[in-house]
Amino acid sequence: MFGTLVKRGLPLMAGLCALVGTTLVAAQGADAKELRVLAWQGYADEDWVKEFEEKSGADVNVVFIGTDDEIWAKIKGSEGKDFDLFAVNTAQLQRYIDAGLTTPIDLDNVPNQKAQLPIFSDLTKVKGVMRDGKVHAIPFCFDSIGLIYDTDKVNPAPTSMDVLWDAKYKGKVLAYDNGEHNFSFTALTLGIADPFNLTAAQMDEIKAKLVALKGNVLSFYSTADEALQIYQSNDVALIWANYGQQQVKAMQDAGAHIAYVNPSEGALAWLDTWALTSGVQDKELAEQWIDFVLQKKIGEQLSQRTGFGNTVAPSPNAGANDKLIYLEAVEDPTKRSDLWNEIKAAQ
Amino acid sequence: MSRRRFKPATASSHWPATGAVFAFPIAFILLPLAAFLAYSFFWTEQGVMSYALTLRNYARFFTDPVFLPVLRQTCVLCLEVAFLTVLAGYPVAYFLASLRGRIRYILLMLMLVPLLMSYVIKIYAIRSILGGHGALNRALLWLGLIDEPLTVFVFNLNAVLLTLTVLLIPFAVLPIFLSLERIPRSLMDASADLGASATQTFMRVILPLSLPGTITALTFVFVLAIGDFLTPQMVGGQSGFTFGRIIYSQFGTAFNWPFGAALSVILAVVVIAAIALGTIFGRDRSALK
Amino acid sequence: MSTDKLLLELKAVSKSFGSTNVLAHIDLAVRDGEFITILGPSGSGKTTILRMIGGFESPSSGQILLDGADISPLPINKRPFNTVFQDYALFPHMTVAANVGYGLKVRGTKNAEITDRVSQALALVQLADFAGRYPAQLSGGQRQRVALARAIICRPRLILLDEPLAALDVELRRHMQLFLKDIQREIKTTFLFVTHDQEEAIAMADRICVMNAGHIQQLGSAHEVYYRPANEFVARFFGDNNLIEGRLQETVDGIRWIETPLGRLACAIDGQAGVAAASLGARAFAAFRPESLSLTPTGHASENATRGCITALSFAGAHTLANVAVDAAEPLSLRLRLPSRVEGVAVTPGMIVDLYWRAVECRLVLV
Repeated sequence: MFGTLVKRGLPLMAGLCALVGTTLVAAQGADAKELRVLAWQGYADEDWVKEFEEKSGADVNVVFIGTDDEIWAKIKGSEGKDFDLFAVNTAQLQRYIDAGLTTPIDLDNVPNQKAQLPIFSDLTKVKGVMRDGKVHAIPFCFDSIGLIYDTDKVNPAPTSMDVLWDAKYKGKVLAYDNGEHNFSFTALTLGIADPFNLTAAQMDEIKAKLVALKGNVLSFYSTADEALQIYQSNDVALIWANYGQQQVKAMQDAGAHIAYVNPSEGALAWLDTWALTSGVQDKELAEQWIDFVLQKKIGEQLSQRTGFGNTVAPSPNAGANDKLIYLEAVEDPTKRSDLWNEIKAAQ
Repeated sequence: MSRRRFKPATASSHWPATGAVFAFPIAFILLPLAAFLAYSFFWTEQGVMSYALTLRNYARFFTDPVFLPVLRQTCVLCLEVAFLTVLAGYPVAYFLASLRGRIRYILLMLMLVPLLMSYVIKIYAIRSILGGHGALNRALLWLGLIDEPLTVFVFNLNAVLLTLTVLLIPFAVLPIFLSLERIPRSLMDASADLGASATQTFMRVILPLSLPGTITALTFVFVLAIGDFLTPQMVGGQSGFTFGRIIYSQFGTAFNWPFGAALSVILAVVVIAAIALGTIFGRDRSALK
Repeated sequence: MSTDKLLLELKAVSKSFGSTNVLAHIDLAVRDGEFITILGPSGSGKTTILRMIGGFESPSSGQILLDGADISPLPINKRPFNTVFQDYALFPHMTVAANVGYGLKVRGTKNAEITDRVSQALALVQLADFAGRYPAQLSGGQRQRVALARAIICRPRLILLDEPLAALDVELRRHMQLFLKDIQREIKTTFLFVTHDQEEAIAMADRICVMNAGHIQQLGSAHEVYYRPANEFVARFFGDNNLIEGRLQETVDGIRWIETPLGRLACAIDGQAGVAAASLGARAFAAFRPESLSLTPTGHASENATRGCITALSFAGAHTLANVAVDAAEPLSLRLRLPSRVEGVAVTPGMIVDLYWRAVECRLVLV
């Protein structure tokens, strides 16, 4: 879900160009080696594809998707046969592994993996990418869901999401309209260890806390553009930043005096990975692609172009000491959504 | 003079054409509605669909403390919107209908231009106007009526009311204009001729004769407003919660399609009731000839 | 019926819409209690006169006087006149009774009185049983009568009727003409009736005001207008006159002679002071109707005669219309109307006939 919303904002034109480009390339040499990639916009840019094709002599066919459900439909629909590799976040990845739709990766074929940033290079510490001692996916890029604050209005700089409840900022808080995430981050703020598996008692506690948050909230937003627009025409001090650095960049470009912080109690974050399908035709070629996009140069370009954090070069999305809590499937999304409606309906 | 009427081809002579004529509404209107109705009797638990027919979704709607109050509050809100749009739209329609010649249609077209613009963009624009730093607050500050920006205009129910009203005024103007336009000029002449003042003519002739259009406008706006989830979502803030937002959340975030379908069916019942009421009260008993 | 007391006077009234002059310098006096008809083709300005009296239009110049006082500043609803509109203009959302009582209602009359007067008015127009109906449930003639009842109930000084019978079929129209005339006699109210139908005007009016192109052509009783047309337009508009142009000669024993291509014609001039006073040699028309011509001399009085050849016949039921080519100083065609008494006799095309007509059926119209 988070992936869906994040990637929808990327420019459509670039995607169209890339699509046209790859289709032309595909038409030129049908008999050569072929790599079929399913990815989000920004994960397989045209210049990278071209360079990889020259280097490997293979044709690369990229299909871009817009939602998590679309990936599932395409991979599950063909039982992994239509694509060689795909990009997916760690939370979603689990159901693919469960369904046997992935092929474990041979790290010897991905030398650049070892050069990844410390928090990503030890795959045993990255929750969800390994199962039964086998590597099912390699982290590619990420973003945290931190806190944006107006540097003119909020002093000193906040370190915790606690500040959202501060009566000083009554009517100046922008929150995100999503029950699942709101329960998770409030759980972290309340010091609950596992924000993705809440007990009924914990849910009640969080619900009360979120009802209290409502008193401080000016509005709930859905898109990054919307948050910026509300910020520009109203007195806003704090924004719970679902879109992370992407959102920060857009606001700063618009001249806003803001800064970004990952809360000390732990920041929710999403992490997208590359995984091989069960129907991968040329496994080595697919692994070559992963190795190729894990180059420092490409990581830097990715961060520059999309605002996402890459896994090979340092980016402002997370400092070395930041505690990132990667999103996981939650215990009961329906229950969270229903509770969220109750919270919104509460007077 | 005999009036020409559109005569549909008889079914026997043109059955393929007739079939096509009915196929489209059946395929694109009736079937989706039937699908909704069917879904509302399914049940989902932990993301697993159960296709055994059940009334649990409806039971949940009537027993849960959240839904009925929100539906009631939403109906009240949309009634207010309907009355406000008619109150604002009637003078506009009256003015347009009183114009002669081309200028009336030019102005009518101009008034309808906003309908061509994206709904979301219009909400964005209105939200900027209503915002703390928006044009409305700046104007009030400049006039010296307030000392600091007011926050009562946006991110609450007032804002939903105001925004829906502004957005839906054209939908109120149009039916009222059409009903006013249909009133023959000679009826107003006759009323004055019989000694009625302008006010009497308005109250006794124009208003009653434009009532069908006015009630159509009320129904139209009410139905459009109650189905809207975007406006409350975008300007309602934390207190402007409406039934449309609940339905949206069932499909968009909870993935509880059966319950969302049940809520939609309930909304459809409200809408059908509104249209039925509008038809009963707006019926043109006199049949202008 | 009509008295000599003046009710309404139009003095030098002109009306123009933009650069189009619709009415030019109209002087018209309406007598109290009379049934006056304004007759003219469409575009003659007759309806504009009615609308100005009613207050729906205001004159560009000139005055409209009621009992000698200018009513220009009075708005429509303050004028003691009521109108019967061409399309009846009944209020579709009100019952017949509510329509008829409307004028009293808006004046604040007590309900009991309204009820009484509405039933009286409906009885007068023979619609007593229709009080609860809506206009859409009535026939054209019934609506017409409702409109009339609605107009008379306020006891106006003047009732304006704007071609009220135009939408009815011929049979019903004849009936309504008599009906209207009866009502007018009964309520003794002045009626100003606008129409383009000369038969209708003749059947109903005490006086007819013939209009054309924004000017009054002639104002007089039906007889005057019919028998003594004031000008060529009236002569042509009424009764299909044969018009033969010539030059006026002397007057002998109340008969004025005119020299025409048909020779010297004798014309009666009683009641036509203008014609009597016109100078010798002045240009004029001799006007005589097709039915005035006969094929045999009718005693000593057929002062005028000519000979011609039947060129065409058209059978029209009660009469047959024939065209007769006259070989005069210049070729002329006359219209001749013969009663169709016996089938297929009298004349045939190609027949040479002698035509006779009397001086009293031949009138002069100055050019």
